[in-house]
Amino acid sequence: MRAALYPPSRLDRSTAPTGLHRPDAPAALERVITSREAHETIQRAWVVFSKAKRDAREAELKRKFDCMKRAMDDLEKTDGRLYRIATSKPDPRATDEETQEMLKQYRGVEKRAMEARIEGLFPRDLRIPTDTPSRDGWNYDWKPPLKTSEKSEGF
Amino acid sequence: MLLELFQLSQRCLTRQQAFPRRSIIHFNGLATVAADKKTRIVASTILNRAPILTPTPHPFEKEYYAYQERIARSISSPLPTDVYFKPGSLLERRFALEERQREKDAFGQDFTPMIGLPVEDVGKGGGKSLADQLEEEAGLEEKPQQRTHRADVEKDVRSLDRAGERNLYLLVKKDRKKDTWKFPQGGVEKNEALHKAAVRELKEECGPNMDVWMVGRQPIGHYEHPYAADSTKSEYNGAKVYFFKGHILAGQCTPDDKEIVDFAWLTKEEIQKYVEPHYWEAVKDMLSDF
Repeated sequence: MRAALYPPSRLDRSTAPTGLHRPDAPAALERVITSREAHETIQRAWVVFSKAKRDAREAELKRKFDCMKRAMDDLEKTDGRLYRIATSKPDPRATDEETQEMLKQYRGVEKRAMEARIEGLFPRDLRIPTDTPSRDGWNYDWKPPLKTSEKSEGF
Repeated sequence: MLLELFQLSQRCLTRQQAFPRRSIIHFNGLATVAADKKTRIVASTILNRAPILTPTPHPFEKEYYAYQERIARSISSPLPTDVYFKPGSLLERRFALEERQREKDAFGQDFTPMIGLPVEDVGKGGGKSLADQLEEEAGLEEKPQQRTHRADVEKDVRSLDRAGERNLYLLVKKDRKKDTWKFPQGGVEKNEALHKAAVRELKEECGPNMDVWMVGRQPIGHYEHPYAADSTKSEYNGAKVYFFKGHILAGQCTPDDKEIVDFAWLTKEEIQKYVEPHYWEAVKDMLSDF
């Protein structure tokens, strides 16, 4: 068992935590980059490709922002009250009376679930894109948190 | 490998626009409000299912990253295994074997590094060799999930698992002759804020079983249209719809089957096929291309 795990015959090398000196690095590099021209072409293509991608993203953001601005300008002309509400910013640290009243109806896990959805807070449970989907798939059976008064007593 | 990347690069350089630029078409309002009639203010929710999968890299991106990885490998020092593994242990030998394969993949089968890691191919004492063991273990590993879901194959537009790489938007169908497919919407009540009206209408039309996060109080777009002369809402001459953005985190739309008869989770291009052209002109700027 011991012999299988730690065989005696092994090369003795002088080592350092930062790695070993590697005399064949130029030879290896030559195998990867075959010519200067090829490398420069690839690099230039990459810059062009990245720029096209970046431009497309910026154009999309601009299009969305312009659309939002047009809507806000229109709302200002249409209804002053609605415009003031739309431009006011919610403070997630100071919950208003309406929210406090709403939170009073919940207790325990349900209360914490409702507190995670206070206006102005970013939801922590928003899923981050992954390379492969989750094994369980989408959660279709989600139900809104129950108020304390709606819960049945006992078991 | 390199030749393929080189050809891709050349193609990329000759084709200047890898991504077509979208032209910005300005929204033309129909601001003809008659003096005696009012405009109905309507709030609508654009409910978005954000992508659940990372985007598939472009073939050029894939090749470029592999190329950069090979360059990095060629100029970096090999790992000092004595520091990180117990000398002579099974783990060290296993790493050495795998590392050897990675070097062969990067620099070619005939490339022999000057400083070799201790790789033994033949098992001692008649046992299986380490390479065989690794191969066996690879077969036992759990396979990763497929990136295309069953809903993509069956073209089930009600599924939230479909088109994982794309942004999906909730469209609902109303039981009437014209303008059947729209985003969930409804009129604003007196003394009600627009963003609250949007959420209220969403819950009324699509049921409470959705975990929704609304992004903000500001509308992300608007759409105005006149009512027909024989419209039932005779006190108004037209409507102004303000759109608000929300994200769905869990749950599913459960329509009441009275006002709303059907729903669909669609990508931007698919929405164009469902809605009327004038509605599409108003909403297309708010939706993500990917």
